[in-house]
Amino acid sequence: MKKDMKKIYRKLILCLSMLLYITTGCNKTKEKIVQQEEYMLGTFIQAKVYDSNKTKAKKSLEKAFKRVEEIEERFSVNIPTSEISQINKNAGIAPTKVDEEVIYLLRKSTYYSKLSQGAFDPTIGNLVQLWGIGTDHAQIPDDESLQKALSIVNFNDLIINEEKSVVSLAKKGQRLDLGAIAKGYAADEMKKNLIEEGVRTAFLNLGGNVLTIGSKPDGSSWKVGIQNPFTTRGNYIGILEVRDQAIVSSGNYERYFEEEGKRYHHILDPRTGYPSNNGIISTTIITNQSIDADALSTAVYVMGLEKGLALINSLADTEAVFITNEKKVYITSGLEEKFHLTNGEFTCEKR
Amino acid sequence: MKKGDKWIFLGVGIFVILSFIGFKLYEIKNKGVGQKAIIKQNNKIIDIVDLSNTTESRFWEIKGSHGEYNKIEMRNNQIHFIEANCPDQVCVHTGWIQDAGTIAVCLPNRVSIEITRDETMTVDDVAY
Repeated sequence: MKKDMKKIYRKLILCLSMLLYITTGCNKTKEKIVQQEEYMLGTFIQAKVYDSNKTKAKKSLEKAFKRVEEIEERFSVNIPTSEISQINKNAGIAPTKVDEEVIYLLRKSTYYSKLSQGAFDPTIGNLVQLWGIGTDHAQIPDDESLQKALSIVNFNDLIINEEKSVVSLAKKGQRLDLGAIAKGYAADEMKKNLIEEGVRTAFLNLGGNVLTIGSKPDGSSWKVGIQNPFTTRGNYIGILEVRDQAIVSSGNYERYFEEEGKRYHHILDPRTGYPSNNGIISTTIITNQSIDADALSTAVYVMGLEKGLALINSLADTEAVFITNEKKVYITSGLEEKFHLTNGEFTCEKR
Repeated sequence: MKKGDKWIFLGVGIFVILSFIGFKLYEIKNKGVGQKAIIKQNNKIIDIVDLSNTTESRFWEIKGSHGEYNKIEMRNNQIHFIEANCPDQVCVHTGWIQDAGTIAVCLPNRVSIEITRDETMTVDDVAY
């Protein structure tokens, strides 16, 4: 009898410990979320790290944000001492010595300018200033100033000398603006820094540019909503599932001003000088690196549906979602399993 | 199988079923609860409010040290910037937010509203 009881106890303990294992097995909450937010790069940056070691996560976040600060000091056109401001000041006068990361970003910029045949152009600075969209002096420019600004937008005038680490703009008054690519680069650098610090799960959001590290703590994909361009923020038309990837959207719905019932948004067409107007009102790019998604989302927005889709389909590991003003959603073939349309007002077309 | 074993397995079985039912009940009870809005100024929390069951309007006026002004309204389980003295008005354009994981931000005045996640959330964030 005594022996029997012992056996029973042993089995009971075994069963209970299995139970315990099962219940803890499906509830992996060992990872804690550490979050940091900062107002940088002219936007709101939010980073969430999932790690069992809170102190380590905090430290890694601080390091990543420190890196963004460095990038801002180097690339911002609003900081007179930045290397980009120096290049602008020296436009048509002299070459400017720059850091190798400036070379890298400008090389990427000209690569996408060529690829998009000028739909993306880093020398758009004067036009951006002239329209002032997103500032308190946003206005429709008069034709003369517009033509003048437009005449010196040309990415071919950006001369990069990698050997000597110098950059110059060929014509006087030319102005770089890296607003369509620098945030993407900053996101990649944040990710790189976090990974170096041992972070394996994180979610970064730089003013709507999303970059993920790994998958969610429970092993599933991150689910990212695609903003409905017709309504307010947080109202999404569909959901994208991603792991370890970047998602960047460009749209007409965020920075804009209205005059006489017409909306003037911030994505300027470097070829016309006016806000891009081709039926596309939102583009979303999914790539491995945020810098590529950032540049491409602007480039294909300006290129339009047919040319934009053709460009995306020609690139490896690059997917896209296009939304037209007729509420049609076009997705590239690689997204068939990963994109779920949730808003019945829109129709999905596969390309 | 011995006679005693039967009772153990039966006991454990009942235990498992009961805990499963208890767990599900807990889940159902907590559905929709805990949808909170966090209002921050300069990354400091000003207020945390429960978004569920808010039918009547509630307002916040947030002033900054350099004359910044934002007014926030909460109503019908939603929250938004109703007024701001910033030049771009992006925060007001953002409109009502209600889904967990979404943020409305006034960049110039450094005021943010974030809806926090709970069990019922459908997306982790929105790309915009």
